Amino acid sequence: MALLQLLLNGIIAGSIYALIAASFSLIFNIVKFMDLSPGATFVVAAFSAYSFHILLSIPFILAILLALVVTVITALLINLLVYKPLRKRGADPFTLLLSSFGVFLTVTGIILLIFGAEIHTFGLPIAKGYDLFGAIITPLQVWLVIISVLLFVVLFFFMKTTKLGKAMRAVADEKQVAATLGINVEKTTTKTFVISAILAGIAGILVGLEQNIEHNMGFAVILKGITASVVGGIGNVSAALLGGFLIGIVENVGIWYLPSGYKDGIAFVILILFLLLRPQGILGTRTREETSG
Amino acid sequence: MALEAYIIHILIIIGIYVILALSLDLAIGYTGLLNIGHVAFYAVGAYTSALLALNFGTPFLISFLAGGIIAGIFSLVVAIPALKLRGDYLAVATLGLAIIVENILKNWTSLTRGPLGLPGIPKPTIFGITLTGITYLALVIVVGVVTYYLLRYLIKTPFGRILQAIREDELVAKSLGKNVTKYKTQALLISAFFAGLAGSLYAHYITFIDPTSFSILESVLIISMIVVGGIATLKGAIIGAIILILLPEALRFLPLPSSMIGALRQIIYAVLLVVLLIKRPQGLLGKKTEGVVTT
Amino acid sequence: MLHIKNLNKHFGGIKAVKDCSFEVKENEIVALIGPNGAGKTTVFNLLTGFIKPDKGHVHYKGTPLLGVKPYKISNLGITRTFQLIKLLPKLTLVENLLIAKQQSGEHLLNIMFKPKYIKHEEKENRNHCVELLDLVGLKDKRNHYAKNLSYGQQKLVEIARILATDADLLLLDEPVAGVNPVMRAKIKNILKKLKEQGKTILFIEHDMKFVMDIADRVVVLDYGTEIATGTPKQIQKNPRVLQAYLGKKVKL
Repeated sequence: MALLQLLLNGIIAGSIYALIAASFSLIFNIVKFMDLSPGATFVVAAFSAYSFHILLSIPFILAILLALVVTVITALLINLLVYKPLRKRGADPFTLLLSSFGVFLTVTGIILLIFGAEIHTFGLPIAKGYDLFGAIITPLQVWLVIISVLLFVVLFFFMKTTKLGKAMRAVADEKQVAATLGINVEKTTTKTFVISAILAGIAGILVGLEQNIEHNMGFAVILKGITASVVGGIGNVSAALLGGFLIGIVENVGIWYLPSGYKDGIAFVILILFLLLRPQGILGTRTREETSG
Repeated sequence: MALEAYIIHILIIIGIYVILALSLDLAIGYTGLLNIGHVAFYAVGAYTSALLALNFGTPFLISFLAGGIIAGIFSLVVAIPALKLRGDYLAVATLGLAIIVENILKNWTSLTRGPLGLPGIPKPTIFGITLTGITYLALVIVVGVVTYYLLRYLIKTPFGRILQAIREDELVAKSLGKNVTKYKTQALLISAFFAGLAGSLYAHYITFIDPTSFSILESVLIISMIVVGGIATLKGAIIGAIILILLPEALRFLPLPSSMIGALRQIIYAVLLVVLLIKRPQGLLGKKTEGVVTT
Repeated sequence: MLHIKNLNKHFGGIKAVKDCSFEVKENEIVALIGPNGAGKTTVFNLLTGFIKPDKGHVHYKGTPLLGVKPYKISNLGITRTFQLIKLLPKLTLVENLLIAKQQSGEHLLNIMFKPKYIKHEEKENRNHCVELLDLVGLKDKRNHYAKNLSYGQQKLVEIARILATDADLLLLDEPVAGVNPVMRAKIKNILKKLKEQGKTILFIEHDMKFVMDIADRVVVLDYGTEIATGTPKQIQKNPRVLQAYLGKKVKL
């Protein structure tokens, strides 16, 4: 395979990782824990879209919208039933991370129960790809990259200009101060989960359309999303985009040098290296450490 | 399967998971090292022991100990992030590491045969007796009991107290002259050693291993065991292992296809973990810290 | 005993400690005072290796301390308390003190090869720790979990704990902050007793009456620099000190 093709594949994969990284980062910013549940909402969205469109033959656009509604409801339920009680109890970040792992396994277990372990496909007609100096990219893949980048533009302006975006940033910076400024922290947190789920959900649907779907497709994706987030600089929306593309490109170009079976391992080697050497990520700044108050 | 053979089988599996849960509790419960990648040590132990037996015909006791020792040495690789990273960052790093190990097991085909796995691992022979069934159970029980008492002794020594101090507040341990880095490394090493032994016991019992036996789900299962039983209580780790192995066994008797049973197992583990984390963070047997300790 | 010369540390653009120099002599009780943000706790963190200085020299009994890891500094015979109480909540009081001991049972090889000896040593150390708890009046609660104590009692345990280290130089970060008068008197007596036993104490405190009562010498920091040193009486009259505190409503 030509190097250019691998680079292109990297960009396509990267745009998915970037969306998941953004989904993960938003929650990390506000609730300050590493949430694996975007991996679950990712799968829920893909399977809901598949069910509505293919199994129930609902028109495409409507099926997508319905799938996103299901995804958002899932996220709201997760927050209400699991994270909210844990937050109220003042659970530490590890407990929250572990519980999100439980949530992830519960959701994917339910999907496994309903749909089985086999691979499902939307079976879209395969369009002829564009030839780009010998590398092939399909129209769907072009759309995938465009939609991902567009979502980032929207997210960027949303965070900068809207009232909710500003509230989210205030809560992320300083919870108590935000509360005294009259921001409803609990409501802002809930809305953050909704936005996060929409991002992960769109990523899930895009992957479903472009490839196949199976119940355990979310795990590698959320871990790479976290990796992308750490590499870019955790908790920063633009950094998620940068990190996503970087991870996508490195792991795809990496198989130019390594057997392709190692593709999944590459990202995690990068993750561990970054955690050790530059935990604040490429765009992050190191915060001062103090031993007492 | 005869009922007796089935019961022995379940007991052996419980025994192996008891060792895994006890060893992980030393890292998570007592030292506060949030290791989600414990399964990696289990895998390294299993593959080391199996490969030695298959390729060199090593006697069981040697490949068994080698499984523990190589897993321990491998833990030093994990120790590097463990020393530097805190809390949830360490959790994600160890998660990543477990996936790298799984990736290597799948792809280093010249050594591990990849997804084909390693069949025909010999049953252990000790003093001319080949251990199967009840005798294998006896072996697992001996290893389990030794693990339990060694760890129990260890946590009561000044060494074990320092581990707990590190869990409670690293700064205090440092300010009182404790080399925190050294203790974390040692705790992880001991934890990995016993996980490696458990891996060897698994490999020589099932006589076939492949990468799917060591997926990250195994780590979740082991963590759930210590959470169910109560973090930082060794008895709790044992009870947790028993409950979590027996509970899904009940599903076996339901008239369901095996693929559904797999899904139900996963759901049961996961829901139980989440509910316990919410309702009873200290686990079923969890140590209460109100009142007085009688010594 | 402890010589600090031209110590500097900045965080971002802020100079927390600036050309700070002072010394502590053997068997002295020295108070480190100054307005909020004067850099007192930063000096402690620099002395104990928890943060690294930009430049400067610190010598303890002739040994340079800068760049040495916290646990190694502790093993040289310097120990500290923290401004916010740092007990180990899920350990009992006596266990909290035992942590401060250096025991052979902390090393795996000894655990394997000298189990009898470490048991014996632990028993002796335990007895000593109970004595120390007795000294601060908490012997009865030795098997209680630390988190179930009152604030003042936790302060006492912290002091008992640094005694268990056998350190010669004790660094105390606000030993009587937030403590009631009875407890305050108790702590004062304990510190005096420690001096009689030959210990050297450097402490940070805002409670000026306590400082005047107990300190042999006072070092005043302002904006990270030492601005005055002297006996409590000299300091009370020092115009620079009064100026530094001006408007901060502290009675000297």
